[in-house]
Amino acid sequence: MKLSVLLISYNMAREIPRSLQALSRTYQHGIEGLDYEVVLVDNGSPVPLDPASWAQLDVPVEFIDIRDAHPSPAGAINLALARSRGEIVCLMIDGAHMLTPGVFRLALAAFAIHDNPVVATRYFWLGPQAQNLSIASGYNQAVEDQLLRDINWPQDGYRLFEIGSPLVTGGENINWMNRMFESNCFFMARTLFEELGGADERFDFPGGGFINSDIFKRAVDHPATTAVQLIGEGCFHQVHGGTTTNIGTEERNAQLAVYLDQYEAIRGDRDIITSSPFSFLGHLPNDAAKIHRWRSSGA
Amino acid sequence: MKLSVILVCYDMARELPRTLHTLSRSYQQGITDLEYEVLLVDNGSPLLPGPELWRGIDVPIRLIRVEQPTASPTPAINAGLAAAQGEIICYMCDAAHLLTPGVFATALSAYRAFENAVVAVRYFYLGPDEQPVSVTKGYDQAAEDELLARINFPEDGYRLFEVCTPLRQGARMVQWLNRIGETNCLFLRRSLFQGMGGADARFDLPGGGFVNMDIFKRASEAPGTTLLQLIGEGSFHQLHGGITTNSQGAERTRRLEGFRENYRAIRGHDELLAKVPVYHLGHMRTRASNITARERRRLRVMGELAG
Repeated sequence: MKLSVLLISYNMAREIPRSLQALSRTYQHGIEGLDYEVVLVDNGSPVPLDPASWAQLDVPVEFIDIRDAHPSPAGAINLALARSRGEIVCLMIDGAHMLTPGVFRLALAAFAIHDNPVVATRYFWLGPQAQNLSIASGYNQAVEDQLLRDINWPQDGYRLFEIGSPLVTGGENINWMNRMFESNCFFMARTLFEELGGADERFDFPGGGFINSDIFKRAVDHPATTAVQLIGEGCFHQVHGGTTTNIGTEERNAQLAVYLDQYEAIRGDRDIITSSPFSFLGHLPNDAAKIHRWRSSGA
Repeated sequence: MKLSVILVCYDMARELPRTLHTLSRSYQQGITDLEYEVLLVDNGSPLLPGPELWRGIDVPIRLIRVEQPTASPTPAINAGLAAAQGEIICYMCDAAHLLTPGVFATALSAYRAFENAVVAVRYFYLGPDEQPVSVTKGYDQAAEDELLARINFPEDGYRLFEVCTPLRQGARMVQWLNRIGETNCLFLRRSLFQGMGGADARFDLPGGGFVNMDIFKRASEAPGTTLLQLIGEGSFHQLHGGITTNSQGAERTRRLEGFRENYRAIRGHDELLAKVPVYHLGHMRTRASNITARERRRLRVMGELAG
């Protein structure tokens, strides 16, 4: 098998069907002959996911339902990794993300071009600005549902760029070549993820703290790998009760500081941003994908 | 053989050694095992280039002399194509261009993912402005020599980005993701180039008119091909007595209009740009290769950009 997507869910009964739709054979472009699976792990949601909610989708799901789950997704990731069969794994630690339709095709192209790539997809919020800001001005699941109806999703998945906002850190002008330090959809060889020891279960906060950045950084900093950022493809965060994304700015900053302390305790430094060079691969599928022209409509 | 570079030259004794250096095994990175050749096609230079121009440069050259040279390079391009043995062609219509060190490896890597890739390298001028402008302000070959000495060329070829100006073709600013209109370094499969019939001999104006853009467009639009542009690699035009790049003002405008008429007569339309999706592949090795940031700084200085 070529590819295993590791999709971790917690309390995402609304979001998971759309995430899976974006991972389906009918939605992803150019993957006709691709042998793949989505290993979906529900990490102990009070209300379990209902397989009937994706039964009509053309997506090969391996569903794992953990009932007595640890609040950190670390164990869930490692379980998914152990069960996965793909040569390449795609880690989506927050299952509430929807992809654009060329992610698989271009990520796999990067594996043809480079020997041992780590391929990252850029992070976007659905909605007019970062969700921890937009929800304060009334953004919610009903607004999001309407936005997705407005673009006739999933008809043309690239229209997600019309209703999303790139994750911007600092005051810089965003463009596709800006360095990424986190991705909620990144690909690496399964042997690499295994060599890294999978997710480090010492990241035991609910939600995992900086566990995702930690995996990304360790993969990218591995001497044998080439880091690749995709251009013109994205993963889009649906609003849900996430651990850091959907709370107020002050509370969020306090939480990030605690996460950083834990990161330092485990790794011995506070450098969660890799300094490894990135390569690029992609395209600009429509005008809305020209994110260097993007301005927050909520600002 | 994997790669044949077709390099067309006319009277470039000053420019050729530098160009050939950038095509050499010691300069191009990650090509240790690459089997390649450089077909140096001389289109009737008064003095035929000889080995003294590439002495000490580790580059596999085959010199081809066009028997009946014309003012258009079209027959020279086709002579190069006929002699080429490589599976893939790197076509450089103007031999006065220097390449950055990752052009070969990056362009060839595209073929691992895209079976019938057409790979374009972005065009830059050496010097502080587009050369048709800079030469009116005193830029000359001596100034260019000094710029290249300043970056210790060819020690680190990526430093070429420190002494260049992107070909803007009228655009306000250039970014890596802008569509390239013209390239002087184009990779395509030899079978594709041959299948297109090579360069069209009707482009018979001095310099070839738009023959270069015509080849680029036809290759990009050929069925089954994927057009890619490289990020973070470039080809850099050295100042020489070129037909349009170094001519000025009304003369240049008149000449370009003649090229356009010639193109229209041959193709029946004015559409020089390929109407196909473009993919992007590459890296940014240095701060200077971030041309978006450089162009933003330039516009800010000129007061055309807020913030």
